[in-house]
Parts: sequence; structure tokens; C-alpha cells
Amino acid sequence: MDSPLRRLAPILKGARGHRADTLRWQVPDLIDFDYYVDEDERLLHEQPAQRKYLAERDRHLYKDQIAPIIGEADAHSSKHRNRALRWWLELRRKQEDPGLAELLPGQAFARAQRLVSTAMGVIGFAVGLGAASTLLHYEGDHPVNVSWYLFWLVLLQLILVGTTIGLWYGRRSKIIKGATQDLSLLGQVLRPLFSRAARWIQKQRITHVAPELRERTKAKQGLLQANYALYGPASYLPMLVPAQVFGIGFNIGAILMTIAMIWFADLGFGWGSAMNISAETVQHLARLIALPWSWLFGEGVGVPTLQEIAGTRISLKDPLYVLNADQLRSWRWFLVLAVFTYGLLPRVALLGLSAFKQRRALATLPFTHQSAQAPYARMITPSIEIRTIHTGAGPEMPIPAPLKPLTRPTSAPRPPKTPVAPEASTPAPKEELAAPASPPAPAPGADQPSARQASPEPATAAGQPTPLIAQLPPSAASSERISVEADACLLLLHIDVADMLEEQDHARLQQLLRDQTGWRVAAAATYGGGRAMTEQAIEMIRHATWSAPPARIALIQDGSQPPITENLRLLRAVRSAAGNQAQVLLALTGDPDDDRDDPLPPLSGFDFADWQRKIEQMGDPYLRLIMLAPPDDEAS
Amino acid sequence: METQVPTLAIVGHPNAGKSSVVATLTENDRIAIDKRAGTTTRSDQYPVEIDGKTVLRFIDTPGFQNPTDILEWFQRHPGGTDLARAFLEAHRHDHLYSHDCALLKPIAEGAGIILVVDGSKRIKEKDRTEMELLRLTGRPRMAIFNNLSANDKYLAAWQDALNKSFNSVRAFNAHRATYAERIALLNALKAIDQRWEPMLDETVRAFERDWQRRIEQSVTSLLELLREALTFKVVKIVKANELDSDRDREKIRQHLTENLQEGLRKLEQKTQAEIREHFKHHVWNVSPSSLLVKDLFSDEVERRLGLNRHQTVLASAAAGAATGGAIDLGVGGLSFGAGTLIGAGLGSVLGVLGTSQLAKLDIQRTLGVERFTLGPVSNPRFPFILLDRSILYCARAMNWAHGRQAADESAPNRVPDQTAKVQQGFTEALAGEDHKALAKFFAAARKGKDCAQEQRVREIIRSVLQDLSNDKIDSRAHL
Repeated sequence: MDSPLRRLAPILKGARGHRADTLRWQVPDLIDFDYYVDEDERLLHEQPAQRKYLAERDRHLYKDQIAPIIGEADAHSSKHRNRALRWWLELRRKQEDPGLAELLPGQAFARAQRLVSTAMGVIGFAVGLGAASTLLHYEGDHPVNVSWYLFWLVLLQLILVGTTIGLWYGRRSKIIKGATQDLSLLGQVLRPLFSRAARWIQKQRITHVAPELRERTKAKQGLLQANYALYGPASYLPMLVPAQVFGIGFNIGAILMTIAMIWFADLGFGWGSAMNISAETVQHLARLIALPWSWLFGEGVGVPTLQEIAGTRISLKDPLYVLNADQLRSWRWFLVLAVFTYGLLPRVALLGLSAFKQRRALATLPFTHQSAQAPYARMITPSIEIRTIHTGAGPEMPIPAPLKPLTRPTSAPRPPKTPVAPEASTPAPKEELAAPASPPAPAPGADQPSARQASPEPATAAGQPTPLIAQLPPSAASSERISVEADACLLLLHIDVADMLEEQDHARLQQLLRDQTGWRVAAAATYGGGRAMTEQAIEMIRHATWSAPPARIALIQDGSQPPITENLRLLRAVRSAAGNQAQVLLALTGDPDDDRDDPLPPLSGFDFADWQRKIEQMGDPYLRLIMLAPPDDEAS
Repeated sequence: METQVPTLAIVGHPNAGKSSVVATLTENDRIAIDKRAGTTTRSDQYPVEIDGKTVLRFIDTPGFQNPTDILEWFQRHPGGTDLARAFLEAHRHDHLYSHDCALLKPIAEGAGIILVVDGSKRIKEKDRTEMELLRLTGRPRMAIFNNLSANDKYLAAWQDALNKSFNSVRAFNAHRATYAERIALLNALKAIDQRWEPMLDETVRAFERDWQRRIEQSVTSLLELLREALTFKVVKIVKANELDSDRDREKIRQHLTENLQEGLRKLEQKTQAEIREHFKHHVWNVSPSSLLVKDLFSDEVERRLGLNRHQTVLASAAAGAATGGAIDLGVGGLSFGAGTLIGAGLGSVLGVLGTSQLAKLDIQRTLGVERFTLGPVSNPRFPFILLDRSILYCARAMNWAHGRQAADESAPNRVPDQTAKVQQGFTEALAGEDHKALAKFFAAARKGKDCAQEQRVREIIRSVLQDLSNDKIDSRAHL
């Protein structure tokens, strides 16, 4: 048997040349297959993290090399599984270090099989020689009894062959199964013999391996673990082969010894019986035995004539010399042909039958047992992986820069000098108040006018703050300059909060604001509904007249939504409009729950902290962040 | 970026749970998720690869920072055919729009949109703005509700608003989504762009096969655990002259019992680590009240998992257990490991009183030494309890969303896990025939033998895990 690598080379070449069906299972393959499966399972047991590696390895083997040969159409079928796993095994062997491939357990088994078979053949031959020479022992006083010769060398063998065939075909019946299990010569003698021989061969080979490979080769010792139960006949049929080889050797030995004795010694054959058996009866029996060859070797050669039979009857009262010497030799070829036909040929036939059955059993192995399922599943299951492609660390949430801070504490707000298109590459804060959708407020000219001195442009109709309900002080009108008393502020109310307020809620809002700041609300505007709305609010700040500067602006915002750049930009715009020392207050509310009456619930501590971090990053010392309704207010 | 590969940008307001959605969809609990807003500062990509070929791509994006500006910019450029790309061109160097540009970049490159919203909150102005601006991009889009609380009174309003601008609207809770819900979401993506159907079909099939593989691996791990646990024993050899009294022997027995229990705990932990590995969990926060964090030998675990007495008797009898032992089990309860100090004479008495030992102690005296061997486990209920707890662990691993790490489990109004329906373990709910097959397998495993029932047992466990995956049986999330 060739080494796996030597066998693989032409097969792989053939695979590329469309000869895909040449790879068949042999018993050593099963042993190597179990070895590799066991190796994988051990690896998984010891290092579960290797699962991914095994899955990738087997999937690659399948996709790149196996599927192009055997196809994928009939995946999961028995035939596909059988062929896929056979190729898997071949490719695994190919991946082995060439120095180690020769030491695979299957290879050792194959060598052991050859060794045991040869030994059995030689032993059988020797036993055959011995048996024939014993049975043909002739000293000239009595002829060799053909009955004994036929009994030991023909009848007994026929019984053994018949028993073997009977057991084989009756192996599925319970009785025979039980009997063969107990009396299994194969299991008791041959299998350990194989294993020992294989181990011995491995050991011998390891001594010839390069020192650097020796440690790794040790791992391959003692791994003849083919699971016989899983493979059925395919696993124990090889054990029958040496038995047949023994039989063949035995018969050849017996035949050769008989022929040699006939050629080189003068033998006399006879028959005898204490019963009253006639020569005719014996002739009938002899003819019956000689049926297979009598057509070729007629009477006188292949089978003795009646006269010869009668003349070779041994009678104890008659001395040997009274018998005819030619007649005494007449049985010789009958005996040789009988051993050849009933001893040698059945053994040869059994050998062929064993090989045929073995090949068929191997070809139809389903490989559905658990250990075989793992590599097959790894092969046919597409590997699915979700990778992560990091695009690098991005910038933190953008914090807008201050909009040209004013230097005088009482400075009045002023509009930006020039409108800047959003797509301009200049810093975005400049465009804060420069929405092309709404006309930009004209610059008043003075860079840093005080609040009192400010002469804001009259608000356009579009720029009017959204009127609030009656409880709140009247909002600024475009044509009016809002006068803000010393204890009052301008209120900017986010549209999400404003939407939730009923008429009666405004008083509470003002009360909460007063509790937190002491400020009344001089005028109010909403924001958060787009640039135009924001613009109106900013305009209101610009047009305000402060009786006690710096300006006081309160913004009320839904804090349950996290702060975003847009919110911070508004704060920058308010700062720019109100002056750099204006008191800006950002009061946060929670998200109102419809089940409760409170449209201004307290904010959760977590959300407040989120805002707090961002507000701190703005670095505006005159910007104060509070919860509009403190947490303990929730209970009230 | 290949045009044929379905690419989905997960977008939304900061803190809407985009990263949680991506983490759950991609089963990646290593994605940085923070309850604080603005954690995601870049658009990381998560390509789904089948045999190295990308079939689907998710892109996690930062939240909108300037939605009003974007919308108004879009509205001022109504003639633009590709608004997202044009906006990107105009603002790519403006740091104030860096997050918005990172968000719009994949959309500009043709990605579909998955908008993540919290449907348990009111619709705010920003939400309307974002919906509208995404509509104006003209890309295939789906909206998903990733509700952070159990409040569902705004859902109808959300549904109405989203239906106007989105091809598909679905619920997908990134903190609670099961395998079946993930597959359902992937299937739903086909509806938003039919060109994606073949790739998404392939993806779903691959996910399903991969899931089956994981179930198979888990079954193997569980069987291995049972085999190892049922053959595990502890041995102590003591010189006879060092043993003065029965009290010394009792101490040895106690010591061995502790060792046996510890060994079994380690075996269970090893299997649990394997199961976590199968289901790609690196972060694992089981509730402190869960049976999974209770000691394997605690009374509570023993009481709530495994078979009831009647079932144990029947299963034991089927497995060829001694009738006397079975009757003893039927009469007395079990509390293996709780007492274990049962002398030979006291065994039956304590058994009736409600205690039964985990394993039998064998003492052999030879050549001046005494060899104490405790194990393997002889208690007929133990393997059922171990199996039950292992299946419970699998159920948790299978249904524990990878995006759950950011969930506020203590929030009073959090989205609840599945409503508790079943109070018993998994094995108790199996059929009597299954109990018998399991008991026979356990009996064979104790003897270290192969069992003809192994295939059947494998099928039983596989079936339970598959039903758990498909939400056909309750996952006992409350246990």
C-alpha cells in the first residue's frame, strides 16, 4: 500500500484533470480519519477558542479544493458526505509535515496489515507443509490413507469455509451475533495483533525520524482508535484478509508438499474401512468429489478407476507387497486436485469476496456518527463573520466657539456683521444668525453698544416673538422696544415645552422660575422650531431695554433629550445678543408623562449631568444651568 | 463601497440606542455603548461576511447634532438630486458639522437608512426634523422603535408620523431582542429595497445555519458536561493510624463532599464559558436574583429545577434504579449536598425526612491505609437539575441581546423581559418518555458507558434549544 502522500499526488493531479472519482476509502483511511477527528476534538476541548480556527480551516478546504471537485449540489446527501470527508482527510494529510505523514496511525496500520498478512501467509505455508508431510508419512509397510488426507486437508477446510460463509450471511441474526461476539477469533487474536504490530512499526519508524520531529511524532503513537462499532463490516473485514492469506498459504504449502512427495518419493495411497463398503461406493464418492475437475482430467488421472480403487483397498491381513504398485499411486493427482479445489480455491474466493465486501462497505459508509458530523458541518456551513472596521477616533461632540464676545458688561446685543452661508468654510458660529431663509438683521453699527444705548432694529413681522398666553407678560412686538425691569428677564421657551403647557401651567412656570432666580418674566419667545423662530427670539433680546443691566435671559429646555451642538449654538447666539456678562439661565425640565398632571416634571439626575458636562465645556462663566423643578418637587 | 452590498446606516438622535441596535444585530457586545449621549463619534462599519464575501453592512453613526440646519439646507436646495452628498461637500471641513457629516457620509454613498427612535417618548420637534430630512435624502429607509421604557401610549402617533416618511416601521428592542426577532428584522429589510432581496436571503440563511451550528455545539457541550459530572469523583487516601475516631472519618467525608461539589461547580462553569463562547457573549450581567447566579447546590436551585418527585421515581425506575431507592425518593424529598453526613444506618431515616446524599462514600482498607472515594454522583435528581440549569443558561445566552449592556435594569419603567409564564424548569416540562431516555443516558454515563439513548438525548436537548430560539417555549427569563 502506498503512502497517503504518494497516493495523493496523482489524485490531486487527476482532480485538476477532471478525474474526481478516483479517491476511495480504505481501512487505514478510517483510522487516519478518526485520528484527525479525535485531534480536532481534543483541541476544542482544551482550547474552545480554536473553534473559529477549525471552522475557517475546514471551510477553506471545502470551498477552495473539495467543492470544485465534488460539487455542492447534493450537499447533505450520504454520497456527498462520504466523498467530502474522504477529500478532507486527504487534504489534512497533505498539510502534515512530510516527515510525520509516514507516521500517521493509518499508515502504521497499513504496514501492520501487510506485515501480519505476510506473516500469516508464511505461517500458513509452513503449517501446510508440515500437515501434508505428516499425513503423507510413508515407510513402505502401509499405504497412506487417503481418507485421513481428505478429512484433514479437504473436509475440515470445507467445514471452515462453510462456517465462515454461514456466519457472514447469518451475521444479522441474534443467535449468530451473540456466538460470533463470544468466539470472535478476529476480536480476540487478530485485532490486538494488528494493534501491536502497528505500534511496533510506529516505534521503529520514530527512531529514524529527525530529532526535531521526534516530540511531535510521539503524539501520533498509540492512536489506532478506529471506532469499529461505527464502521461496521468496513472495520472488521480487513481482519478476515490475513485469515484467508493464512488459508491460502496453508493450502499452497500442502499442495506443494504433496507434489514434492509425489515427485521425489514413492508413495502408496490406499483406503480402508471396517465397514462393508464396496469399491463402487468409494468410486461414486470419488467421482462426486472430482466433479469440478473430472471434465478436464478424466478417469485414471483426475479420479482413480474402479479397478484402481478396488486395488488400493487396505486390508490388514494382506501385506503391502501384494498390492499393485501402479494402483497404489493412482490417488495422487486426485488428492492434489481435491486440496486445490476445496482448499485453495475457496480461500482465494473468500479473499476476493472479503475485498469486494470491504470495498462496497467502505464506499457506502454514511459517516453520520457524531464525530464525523463535526468536520462535515464545518465544511458545508458557510462561515459567517461580522467584522468591525474602525474608522478612527472621531471628534467629540462639537462645542461651538463663542460668537465674538463683547467686552463691556452692559454691552447690548448686536447682530452679526455679515451673513455667512452655511457651506462657507469659516467657523459655523458666524452663520448662527445668518440663515438665508430669514433676512439678516441689519447691523446697528456700534460694535459694543450698551444695553441701554442699544437701538435695536424694529422686529419685522416674521421676527416677532411668538405670543404667549395671558398669564405671561406680553411678548415683544416688532415695533416696540421691550423694557425689562431690574427684577425681570426675557424668557425663551423651547417649543417642545411650550407645546405641553396649558393655560394654567404658565403661572407655575413663572413661579418655578422666580423660585430659582427671583426673576419675573418681562417678555417671552419660543425657539427650537427652526431658524426663523430662533431669529425672532434673538431679535427680542437685541431689542430689549434693560433698566438694570446686564441682561437676564432664561431659557427653558426639555432636558430629557441630550444636548446637541444645535442647542449649544443657540446659547452662544443668546450670549452674543445679550452681552458677555449677561446672566443667562438654562432651566431644564423632564419629559412630561401624560398620566401625570405636571407638564414641567423634574429632570433625572443622569440627564442633568449629561447637560452639565456639555455646558461646562462651553466655558461660559455667566451661563447657569439648573433644573426648573428640583427633584424634590416631584413629590409635591 | 460595492453598490450591490446592502449597506444600512443606523441613524438617529444622540442616545437613541443606535449602537445598541448595531451591537444586537451584529452580536457584538464589544461595541462601546454608553448611556451618556454622544458616545459614538465615528461611523464604524460592521460588514457581515459569508465565506469572506461581504453580503451586508451595518454602519453605526454618531447622532444628529444640527438636524435643523441640515433640514433647512436641504429645503433650500430642492433641486439637488443627491442632497446628502451635496451637504457633505459643503460642510465636510466645518468641525461643527463633523458628526452630521459622518452620519450623512454613508447615506451619500448609497446606504439605506435605519432610523432608531424611542417610541416610548413623545415625538419632539427634533424627531420631526430628522424624519423629514431623512425623507429628503431619498434613500430606502426603515424606522425601528427601540423603546427604552414600557410606555406605549405614543406608539400610534409615532407610527403615523413615521409611516409618512419611511418604507417600513418595526419594533426592535435592542436590549431585549431575541434571535427570532433579529432574523425577522433582517427579513423586513428586504421590503425597503427589493434589490437587496437575494443578498439578504443569503444572509438570513447563513445566520440560520450558523445558529443551528451553535445549538449543535451547545448540545455537545451539555452532553460533555453531563458525562464528566456523572463520572466525577474525589479520592483521599489516609494512613489508618492517622484515623483515631469516626469523627475523623466524618471530617474526611465533609472535606470530600466539599471537593466533589467544587469540582462539579467548576465543570459547570467551564461549560457555561463554552456556551457564552458559542453565543459570542463577552459581557454577561445576570440579575443577582437569577437561579444562574445561585449556588448549584443551593436549596432554591434544587427546589425549582429538575424533575418533581413523581417524575424522578418514574424516570429512575425506567433507568433500572433499585426499587427501594426509587420508593425512598418518592417518599422523601431531596436536598443533595445539604446534609450529606448520612451514615449507613441513618441514610434511610434522613431520606424520609427530606435529605438524600449527592454521592455514596466508598471506604477501602488495605495495607494500613484507608482509601475514601466519594462519587460519582448517585443522586438521581442531580443530572436533571444540572441539565435544567445548563439549558436555562443556554436560554439566557441565546436571548440575551448583545446591546443590553447599556440597558438600565433598575429603571422602574424599563421594558420588561417576557412575561413569566412557566414556573418550572425545562426538564420537568418534557414528556415521560423523554425523562426515561434521559435517565437511561444518565445511568449509562455514571458507568462511563456509551448509551444507545445518546442520540435521543441529543435530539431532546436540541429540540428544547431550537424551540427556545423560535420563541416556541418560554425562556424562563424570570428564573
